[in-house]
Amino acid sequence: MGYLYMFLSLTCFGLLGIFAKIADLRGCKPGAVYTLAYGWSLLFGVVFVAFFRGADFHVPFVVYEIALPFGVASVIGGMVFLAGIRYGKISTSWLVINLSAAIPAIGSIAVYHERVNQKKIAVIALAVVSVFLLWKDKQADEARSAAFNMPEGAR
Amino acid sequence: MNRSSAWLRLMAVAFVANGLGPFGLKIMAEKGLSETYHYQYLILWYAGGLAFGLIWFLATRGRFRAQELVMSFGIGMASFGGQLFSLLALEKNMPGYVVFPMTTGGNLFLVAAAGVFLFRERVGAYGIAGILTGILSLILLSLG
Repeated sequence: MGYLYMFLSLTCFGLLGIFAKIADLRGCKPGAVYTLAYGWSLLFGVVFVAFFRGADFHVPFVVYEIALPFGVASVIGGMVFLAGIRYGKISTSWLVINLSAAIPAIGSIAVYHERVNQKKIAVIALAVVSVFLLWKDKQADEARSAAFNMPEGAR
Repeated sequence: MNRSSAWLRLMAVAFVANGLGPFGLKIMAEKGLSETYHYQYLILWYAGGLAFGLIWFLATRGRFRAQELVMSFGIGMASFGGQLFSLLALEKNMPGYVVFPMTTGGNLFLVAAAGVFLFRERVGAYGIAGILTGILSLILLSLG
C-alpha cells in the first residue's frame, strides 16, 4: 500500500506541472489560476480533516503565524512560475521549481545552524550547475530559433 | 529584455518564493508542532496563499474565467494529492529515503517526458545535462 501511495504522490506532483503547462497554453492568467488552485486545495484539506482526521481544526496561534506567510510566499512562487513558463519550456522550468527545495536546506543552515557537510555543499553546487546548464539550453534554443526563424522549443 | 533573460528572472523569483514556502514546515518541526498539526498547517498554508491571491486579484480588478476554474481544479487536486499521498506513504512506514527521492525524481522525469512527447519541446544537450544534474542534486537532497 505504501508503494501505491508513493506512486500516486509522484503522479500528482507531475500532473501539477503538466496542468500548469496546459493552463499556459490556453492563455489562463497566472494570478487567477493559482488563487483558485489554492482555494481548491484549501477545500480539499478541510474536507480531508473533517472526514478523516476527526474534524480537529483547533491549532495554537503560532501555527497561524508560521503557516500564513509561508503560504503567501508559495502562492507568489506559483504565480511567477506560471508567468515564467510562457518564456521557457515546462521540462526545464519544472526542474528549476523543484530545485528550490535547496532554499529550505540553505535556510536550515543559516537559521538553525545545521552542520554543513560535503553532501549539502555538493547538493547546492549541483543545483547551481543545473540552473546554469538550463539557462544555456534556453540561450542555445533562442539562437537556433533566430537562425531558422522558428518558434523556440519547437521541433 | 530577450526571452531567455525574462525566463531566468521570473524563474529566479519563483525559485526563491517557492523555496521559502516549505521552510515553514522546518520551523514547525523545530518547534515540535509538525506531527500534531501537519494537516491543519497545510490548510492554513493554503489559506494564506488564497488570501493573498484574492487581495491581489481584487486589487487588479481581475476576473476569473471558466477555463481558469477548470485548470486550477487540476492544479489544486494535484498539489493537495501529492502532499497527502506522500504523508500517507510515510504513515504506512515507507522510509523517507525511499519516498522523497522517488517522488522527486519520478515527478521530474514525468514532466520532462511530457514536455518532450506531449508538448513537443526540444531539449538540447545543455538541457539534458541540466535535467540530469538537477535530478541528481534533488535525489541527494531528499536523502537528507
